[in-house]
Amino acid sequence: MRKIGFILFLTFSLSQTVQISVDRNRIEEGELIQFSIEVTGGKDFAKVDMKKVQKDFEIVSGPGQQTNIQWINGSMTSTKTLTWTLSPKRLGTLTVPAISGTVDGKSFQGKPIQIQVKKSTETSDNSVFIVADIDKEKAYLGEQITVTYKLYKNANISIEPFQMPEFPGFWVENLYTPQRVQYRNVTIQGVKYQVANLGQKALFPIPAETHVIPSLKVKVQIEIKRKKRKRDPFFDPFFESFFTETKTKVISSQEKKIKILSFPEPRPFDFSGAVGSFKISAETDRDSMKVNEGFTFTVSMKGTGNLGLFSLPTIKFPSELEAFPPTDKFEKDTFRDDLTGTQTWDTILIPRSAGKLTIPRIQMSFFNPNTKRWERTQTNPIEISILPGEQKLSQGNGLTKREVELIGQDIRFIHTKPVDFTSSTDSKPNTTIFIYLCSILLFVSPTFISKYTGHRLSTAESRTIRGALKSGLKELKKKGNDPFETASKAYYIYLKYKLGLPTHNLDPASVETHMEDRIHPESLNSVLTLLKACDAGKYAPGGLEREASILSEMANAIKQTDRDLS
Amino acid sequence: MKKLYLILILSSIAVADVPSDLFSQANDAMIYEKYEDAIQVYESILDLGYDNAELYYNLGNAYYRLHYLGQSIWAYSNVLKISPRDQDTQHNLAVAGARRIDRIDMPKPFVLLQTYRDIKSNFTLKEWIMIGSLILLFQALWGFSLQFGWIQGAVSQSILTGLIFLTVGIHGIALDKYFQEKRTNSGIVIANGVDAYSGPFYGENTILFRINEGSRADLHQSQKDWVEIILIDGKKGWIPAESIRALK
Repeated sequence: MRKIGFILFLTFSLSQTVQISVDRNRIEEGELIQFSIEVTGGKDFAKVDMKKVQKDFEIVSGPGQQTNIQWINGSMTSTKTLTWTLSPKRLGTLTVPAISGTVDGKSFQGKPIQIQVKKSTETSDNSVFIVADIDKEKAYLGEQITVTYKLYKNANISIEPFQMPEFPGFWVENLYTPQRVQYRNVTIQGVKYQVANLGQKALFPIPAETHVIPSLKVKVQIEIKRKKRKRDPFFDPFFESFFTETKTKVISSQEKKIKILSFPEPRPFDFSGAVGSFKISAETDRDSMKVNEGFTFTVSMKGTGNLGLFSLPTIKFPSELEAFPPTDKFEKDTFRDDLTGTQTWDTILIPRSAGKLTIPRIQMSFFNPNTKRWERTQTNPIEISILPGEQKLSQGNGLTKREVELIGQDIRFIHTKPVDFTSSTDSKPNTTIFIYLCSILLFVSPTFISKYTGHRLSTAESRTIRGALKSGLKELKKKGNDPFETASKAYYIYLKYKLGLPTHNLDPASVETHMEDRIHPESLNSVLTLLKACDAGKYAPGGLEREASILSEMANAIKQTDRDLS
Repeated sequence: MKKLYLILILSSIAVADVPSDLFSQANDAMIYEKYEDAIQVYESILDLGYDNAELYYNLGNAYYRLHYLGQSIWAYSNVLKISPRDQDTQHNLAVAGARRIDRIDMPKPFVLLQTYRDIKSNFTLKEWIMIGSLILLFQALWGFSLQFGWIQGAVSQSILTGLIFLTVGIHGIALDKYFQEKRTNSGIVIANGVDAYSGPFYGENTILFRINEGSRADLHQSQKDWVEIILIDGKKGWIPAESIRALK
């Protein structure tokens, strides 16, 4: 049976050859071909891209690696072979396209290989088949579909290990995986079969473009029934059982499309994707709590449906409660075809102030596919009473020591003294403006003052001269002990200012020398006489008769001198 | 009793020294522990357009006795705006403040800055200007005396320099105070458990924080019956206008 259908040699060096081959090129539907790439004399396996091949063929297994080393006449030949098992995807003439790849960095190019796939000659081989059993073909999003893959056989077969396919568009929950394939007997249309459960899944459609139950492919070895041979004298039928011939075949279930039904409108506002039948309940672990002592608030949802596929509605806790993010837990009820269980959410809450609080009701809508109606489940509001903590004030409530002291104190009494409301439009701005003005005045005044004083200094002499007469006459008016002394002193003072003399301690002789050229000699004589008379009056008791007139005479004399000098 | 006071108010409007009469009436009511009546009369004096430190102080006491913590803190804060060194008010404000629920943690400022703020808040703007003017006058006198040689010496000269710096500094503080008073418009929360929303409307999920009476907040802007407040720690939110009372 085994024959080489097509051999292609490619020689690109003396030592290396690449051989691309299939084990046969005429097969029947359901049969497999071996596709191999053999490298002789190379150091490594060939590196090829098998994507093109997968257009018409499905790779059932491979690549398998095999290395042969031969010693022939002392020289070594190594052969490295890659082998794939291919299953044709359709009937007719198929082509394994030209394979290109590299061996040890050198590239090679193969040629296409044609393979003919004929319809099975065996009259509709119903000895082995797989059925994907689904419980419904139409489902709502989130509604459970149970798929069971069943293998039917009425021949002796052995199953090679297989993998469950991917289920795109579904959330998958495993219900049953056989540890060992077990058969039980059934009869279908009068034919006895043995049936085995290859696996059971709960599928929940999620929003996706297509929802298809994929086919399960299993490779089986089928024992071929042979016609009864003539009784062989050497080979007893007993031995025949050891030498049964088998045929490898890939069997697959049919793909099945699932139609997704849309939910009846309107959707409830609190629908979060739950489909099935649920019951929600809530409880706290304690009835009475103290401030700043945490407690647990548990919401549990029990039911059948897409548990775990939807979220719990957010709970609005009173702001007096500090809530920590919940932890959730799912307990599955086993031994059920429908996904059933209890999901619980635990939230730790810490009350921050004392009083009566109400945790509001939690409600959630779900779609019940059995009744095809929206249903709602809700909890009861939970009332809890929070007792004040024992050390509320000192317990780090943000109070400082001083504040704690203050809490114990009372406010001071009101001020009862009468208040003048009219003065509330206060006069301070005026005072302030006055002070500012004073300051500015003080700042500016030095310039004016210095101007003024500068003027005074420059005119000081003339002012003194002009003031001389005044000073002299003023001196006369002083009531002294002795009129004579007063009179002479007045004249000397007058002269001092008038002439700018340093002192008024003068005598008649010095007066004469000062005045000689300045005034009329007659006047000078009369003055001198008068002054001498004064001196005489001062020191001698005589001249007392002049005592009464001396002051007026002196006044006249001063006036006369002043007139003469100016 | 309320009616009686109302009649008193109405009848006494005609009298010349209305507010003083009302004030003493309200004080009498306080002594007889008729706090509600006292509050009415004190508030009516305010409504007439008069204000006074003593008035706010007594009003604060009346509110405190009736456990209107926010209102009393509002009144005491107003007193401190008028006379910042009033010992009784400082004490009462501290007592009332210790009973507040909220404690907003303030970032601790730099020590020097804190000292500066304490000094600044110790005097009103008018007082600062007054102090400034007096120092200026003194500086002017000192300079004048130096000019005419009545006082002499290097020490006097450096005292003058010091005085100049002092004058400039105090006027700087006064200017700072002026801008501070002009810029910020503070208020005291007078209701308990006020939810601050992210916008001027009641919404389900827009509550930003909750604030209790007695907390001080800057008023940022207002919209219809809502005001936007900024807390000392920088949080912003909208609260109903009736839950906060702006300081004078």
